[in-house]
Formats: sequence, C-alpha cells, structure tokens
Amino acid sequence: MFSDLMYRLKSLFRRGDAERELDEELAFHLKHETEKLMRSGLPADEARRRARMAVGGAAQIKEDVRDEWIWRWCRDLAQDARYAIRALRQSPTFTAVAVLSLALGIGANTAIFSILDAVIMKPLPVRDPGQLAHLHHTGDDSYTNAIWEQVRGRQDVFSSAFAYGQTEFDLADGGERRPAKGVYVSGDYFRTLGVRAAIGRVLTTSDDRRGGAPVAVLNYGFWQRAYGGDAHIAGRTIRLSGHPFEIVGVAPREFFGMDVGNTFDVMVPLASEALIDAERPMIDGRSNWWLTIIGRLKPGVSFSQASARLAALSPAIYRAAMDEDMPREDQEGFIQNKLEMKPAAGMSYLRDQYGGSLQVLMGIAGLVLLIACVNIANLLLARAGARSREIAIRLAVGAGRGRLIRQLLTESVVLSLAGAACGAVLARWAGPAVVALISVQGQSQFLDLSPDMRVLLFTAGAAVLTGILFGLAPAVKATRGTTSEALKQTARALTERHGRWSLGRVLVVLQIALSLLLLVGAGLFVGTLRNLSHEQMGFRSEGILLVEPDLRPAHASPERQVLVADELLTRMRGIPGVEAAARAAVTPISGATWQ
Amino acid sequence: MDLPQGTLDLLILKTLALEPLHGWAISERIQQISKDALQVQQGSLYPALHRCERKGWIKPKWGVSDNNRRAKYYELTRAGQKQLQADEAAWRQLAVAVGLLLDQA
Repeated sequence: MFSDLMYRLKSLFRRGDAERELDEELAFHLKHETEKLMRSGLPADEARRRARMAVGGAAQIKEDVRDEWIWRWCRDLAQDARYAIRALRQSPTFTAVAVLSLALGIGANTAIFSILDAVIMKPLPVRDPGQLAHLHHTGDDSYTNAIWEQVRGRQDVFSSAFAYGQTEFDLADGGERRPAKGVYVSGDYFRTLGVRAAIGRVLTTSDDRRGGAPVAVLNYGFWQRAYGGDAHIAGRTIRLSGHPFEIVGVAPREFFGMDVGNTFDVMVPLASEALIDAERPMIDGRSNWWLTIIGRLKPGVSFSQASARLAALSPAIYRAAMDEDMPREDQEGFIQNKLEMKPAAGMSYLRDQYGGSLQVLMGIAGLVLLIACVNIANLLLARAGARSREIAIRLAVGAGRGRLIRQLLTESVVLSLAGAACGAVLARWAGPAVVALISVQGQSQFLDLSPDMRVLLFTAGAAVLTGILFGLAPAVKATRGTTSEALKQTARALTERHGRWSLGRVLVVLQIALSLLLLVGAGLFVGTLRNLSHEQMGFRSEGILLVEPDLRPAHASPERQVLVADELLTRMRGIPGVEAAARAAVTPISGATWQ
Repeated sequence: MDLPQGTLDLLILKTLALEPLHGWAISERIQQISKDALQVQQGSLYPALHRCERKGWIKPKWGVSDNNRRAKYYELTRAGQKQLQADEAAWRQLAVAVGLLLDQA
C-alpha cells in the first residue's frame, strides 16, 4: 500500500522524469528488436519496419503504462467518493448528526487556530521582519526623544532605524470627543519597514522637521470607515485635536503598525508632537518616556554583534541624553543603563497576554474534536453492524479486504470533509466572536483573521486526519470475520456478539473519560473567569463612572483649568442620582502611577 | 498463444527470480523458455512491468546492457518473492484441478 502511494506520487510529481524514462525504455526495446531481426538476415530497413510492427503503437503502450501511474488511482478515488456519497445519502440522519458534530469540532479548532495563527505565527506585514530589532533596557522598552536622537545620530549597526509613540487624537472640533488612535512616527518609519502607500505617499524624513507642514497618513480601514474610501483623499485636511493636517496618503490594507493585535487610525510625523502638545511637548521633555525604537540590522550583522556594539555605545548615549534636572544621586545609575535588543517580530501585548491561554484553548478544542471523533466512530460501528450483510456480500464476490477498507475510509473522509467545509464557515463567524470576547469595550483588538495557507492546511489536515481516526477502527472491524458466518447471521446477532473488551465498549469508555476531562477542565476555566470578573480591587467598582474631560483645546491657563475642574465637579454633584463625585489626576487601575 | 488474465505478472516475477533483466530481455527469456509458444507483446509487457513496480514487487535500476547501452533493469523485491511463491502455488493448484477435470469429466 505504501509503495503503491510512493510510486504514484513519484509519477505525479516527477512526471517529466517518468515520461523521459519511459521513452528511453521503449526506444531501447525497439533497438534490440531491430538488431535481432537484422541478425536473422533481414536488411536494416525491413528489420526496422518489422520491429516497429511487432512492438506496436508506442503511443498506445505509453497510454497504458500511464494508466498504471496516477490516473487509475484518481479514477478509483472518484469512484469511491461517488459510492460514499450515495451510501451516506441513504442514511441522512446519521450523515446529518456526523457532519454537524464534525462541523462544531473542526470549526472550533479552525477558529482557535486562525487566532493563534494571527497572534503567534503570521509575520509582520513588512519587508523582511526577521531583520528588525526592538530596543529595550532593563524591563522596559520606552525611551525619551533625547535618547532616540542620540541613537539615531550615533548608531552604526542599523541600516536604518525609527521611533514611534502611540497617542490619542480628538477628531471632533469641540463637543464630545471623537477619539482616534494616533501614532507619532519618525521620518524613516516607512522606509525602514519597506511599506509603500496604497494611495498617495507615505511619510518621509523631510516631513519629520520641527515647523514643517503638518501631514498625516491614514490607516486603510480608517480611510474606508471615515472617508468612505474616497479615491481623491490625498490633499484633503483632517483636524487632529484641533490642528489641521494635510492627508498625504493611505497605508496598505494589511498594515496595522508594529504591534500584533493593535492598529492605528492616523500616523503623523514625530516632530508634529510639538505642534499638538504646544504647551509642554514630550518631544523636548528629557523625562518623558514615550517612544519605542526599532532598527533594521545591516546585512551580514547578527543580533549578537549588534547587541555588543549597542552596549558599547550605551554610556555615551545616556550621558548625552540625561536630564539636567535629575538628582545627582540618580545620575550615575542612569548612565549605567544598557541598550539591548530583541527581535521585533516577537513584540505584542496581545501575544504576551493571551499566547499561553490560546494554546490551552487550542488543546481544549482539540479535545472536543477528539470526543466528536470517538462519537462518530461509535455511530459508524453501529452502522457497520447494520451493513454487515452488504460488506459480507462484497467480500464474497471477490472484493479485497484492503480495497474495502479503503472504500470505508473514503466514506469517513468524505464525511469529515463535509464537516470541515461547514466548520470553516462556522469558524469565519466564530473567530471574530472569540476576539470580541477578549476585547474590552472601546478598546477593540485588531487581528488579521483572514485565512492564510497555514489555516487552510490546518483545516484540511484536521479533516483528513479525523476522517481516518474515526473511520479506521470501525472499517477494520467491519471487514473482519468470515464471510459465510456473516451472511448467515442477522445484523443483530453480529452486533450483539460483544466480547468483554469489544471495540464498542472501549469507545464508550474513551468517550466518557475524555468528556470527564473536558468537564473538569471547563469547570476550572469557568471558575477562573468568575474569579477574574469578581476580583477584589480594594474598592467597590459598581456604579462608578469615570469622566475624562480634555481641557487642552480651550488653551486655558493652569489657574483657569483648576477653576473649570471645580465648576465641573460642582455641577456633577448636582445631577440627580449622583451620590458623590471626586477629582483625581491618577485614577485606580488606569495603569498610570505617581511617586 | 494468448495468456490468461493475470498470468503475465507471474511470468515476469518468475523470470526475474534468477537475475535482474531489462524489458526486452524479459520478453526474449519468456519466448525462449516457452519454446516460442508464449510471445509477450510490448503493449502488455510495459504496463505489466509498471504495475508490478507500483505494487512493490519489482524495483527498477538503471544499468548498462551487454552492448554498453543505458538500460532500465528490473529486480525482484522481497515482497515480489513472496508474491511469486503465492502465485506459483495458486497456479499449480489451478492447473492440476483443471487437468483433472479435463481428464475425467
């Protein structure tokens, strides 16, 4: 059976070789035949003619030989599949139950796998992501603009490097805020990543100048949502936190930035931060840690070489970027900081946060599929009992056992492929639902869940594997036993002849064991989920609302801001239903801290 | 004389039991030993050879023929030897049975 498959595959994939060898083999034969005839005294021409006649039509021979290669196998397979579909149609209830449970099993697996694929396996949609290095120092990866300028000016290990900082813009002109995810990017951002614009142009170093014309690049999805995919978007103006920016282009559809699971709406040059936060620009603040730095390694430079070089440069960089106001006792420690790097392909909040849980979820989904398999194997076994006469007759009229097993396996694989097709449809819907489950409201996670080659292979592989898994044991069992015995006995008698460890009982035991495992696992899972949502945070979170007023657009003086805040607080206390209100710069679990 | 269905595979296996041969030599050998009674047509020989190869009974090997030409030789595999024994026994049984019937019926 194995050599059979290898032979056919060889003839399929090495078709050219096989054809050439066959030609050579046949020519060799013709030559020998001719020589034999010449030895018997015939003239060369006549010998050649007779030999050709004796050999027969080369085309016909070749056709017959090719029949032995792949085609007959395909023909058999098609025949088996047709027969399988006919057999399945005869028992629609069984087929429906089996396809449905497989659709759920395979669908769940495909959905989880496509998320796992998007979070862990898909490479960043940029040029050669393996060469990108992400800078960090002890336990942190944010830098001040002063450090970034030093890195940009001094480093000689990167072919190019960039820094970016995430922010939030207000798209509204007064009134209720309309937040948009913004990113400040340094001039070489797009060039380093090798990302080209879908429309217009991307940002370049000439845009990243203090006092330069304010320009912006839009995210593809944002462009679709907010501008209806306007083809003449380049040149239009967008107001970001009250400042007009000229839109120069749209980023490609698949580009979501550097962080898997996150996306952006608008990208503007780093230098324009000074324009938006005109009162206290972070770009000038030597104690504002807000930038992420990424570099592309020079060709031929390894990560360890680059790390060593960067470590050697560190003291000079930190010395030059030090905040003059820093207390003396802290200065020494600051200079001793070291720049390190790790592959940028591995940076994702989502991956760090959910990578492990996703793998557990994948395991659970696999277990569900396994239970579905055992379930269907049991059904098939019962069906095989009912079909024992049919099988016995086919064995009696000369069908080989191997051939019959293959036929039964084809039936199970057809079943599982049908299940996989339904499952894939299910997964298209379930994938985003799971992502929505892990997204907090207003903080949507962005994941590229479009099925790629890996997901398709996974689903197809899962289908074929499950088909064989649940089909093999019943098929082997169904074709065992002598034919005369089976022909005499009724189906009932045959299925009742269970031994102590009959396949049916083993399957039931397996099913119960797996279900129990899953039940306990799911119970623990729900328990954890309950604990998380009822976590004691040290205060009562029920009925508390957080209001974040943005006073920047009013350009009020600090003294006036305090007055406005007091006024707001008084008015809020006056709203019916409000029990109490308070004001704070740093709210609990906001992630911000103060010392 | 036409060969009964399935007999050609047996003849090929038997011919190859002694030594690896190329296609032409196999047909010659069958013709010689059967004293010209059996003539194997190319039209059935090559499909049969490829069928035996597919079933793993014989495996091909490129070698050099007596007159220094590149030729595709076939040799018997272990599976082929087993198949030969089984087929040979079955054939002999059948021949005896058919013989008895023809003699006595």
